Amino acid sequence: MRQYIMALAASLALGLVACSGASGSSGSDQQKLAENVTRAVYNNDMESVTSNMSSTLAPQVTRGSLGVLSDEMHTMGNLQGLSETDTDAPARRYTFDAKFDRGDMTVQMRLDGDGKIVAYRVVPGAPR
Amino acid sequence: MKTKALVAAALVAAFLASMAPAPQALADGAASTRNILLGIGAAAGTLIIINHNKKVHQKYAEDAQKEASLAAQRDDAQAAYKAEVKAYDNQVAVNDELRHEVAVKDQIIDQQKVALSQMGVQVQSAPAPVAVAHHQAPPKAPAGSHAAQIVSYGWGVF
Repeated sequence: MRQYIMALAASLALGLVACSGASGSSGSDQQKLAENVTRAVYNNDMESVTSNMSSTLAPQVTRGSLGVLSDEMHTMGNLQGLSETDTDAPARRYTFDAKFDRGDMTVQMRLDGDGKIVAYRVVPGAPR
Repeated sequence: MKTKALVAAALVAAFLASMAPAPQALADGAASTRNILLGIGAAAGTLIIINHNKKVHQKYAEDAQKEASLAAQRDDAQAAYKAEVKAYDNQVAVNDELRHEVAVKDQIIDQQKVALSQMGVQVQSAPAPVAVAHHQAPPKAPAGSHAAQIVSYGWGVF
């Protein structure tokens, strides 16, 4: 009887862990991706910025445009982190609030079916 | 004799005075003009010079035209012809100045376009892959007020 209860508890625990992992991964994956790209932009790191972009979007990133965006972020101080504020799952559109020392910026990211970034835009100010 | 000597001395003095170098004009005006030209940039300076030259030649052309019509009134065919030629030459010079002005302005526009494209700035509202895009905000403001522009950075269309 004790063995039966132990097995039941173990399977229940495993199931809970699996469920929490599955539900958490989809949201956190996009946030992690957005955070990585945003940090790469902040650090003016061309390779890291383009590494997760689609083959059509990556060539659009130029040193000049990356520098402009990086400079804009640096005017806000240190990048503290991103938090997801809006998700349109069917359209694969994700909106994040990027917090800096001296304010917020809205990071908008759209992914394709393969999980590659097809749009990455930053708007000064917190998400509305 | 004494009077003659005095007159001669006065003439020599007057001659020497006329030969003496004239005091230099104060450079304040020229310097300030130069500073203004430097301040507004070489391109703008070029345009000012072109504009000045154009006006001068236009004035010359008008004067020559007047001269020609006066000569024609006097039935002086030769003078009228010469004045007409002068007016024509000045008008040609005006056209050259205009052509030069257009070329300089084209050059300035090209330079600005290159600078903007290097910055990745999108000039109009076309959804292009650019770093900076100025979008008109959705018309939430009351009618009659100006809609604020939203600046967004990045690549692709969200």
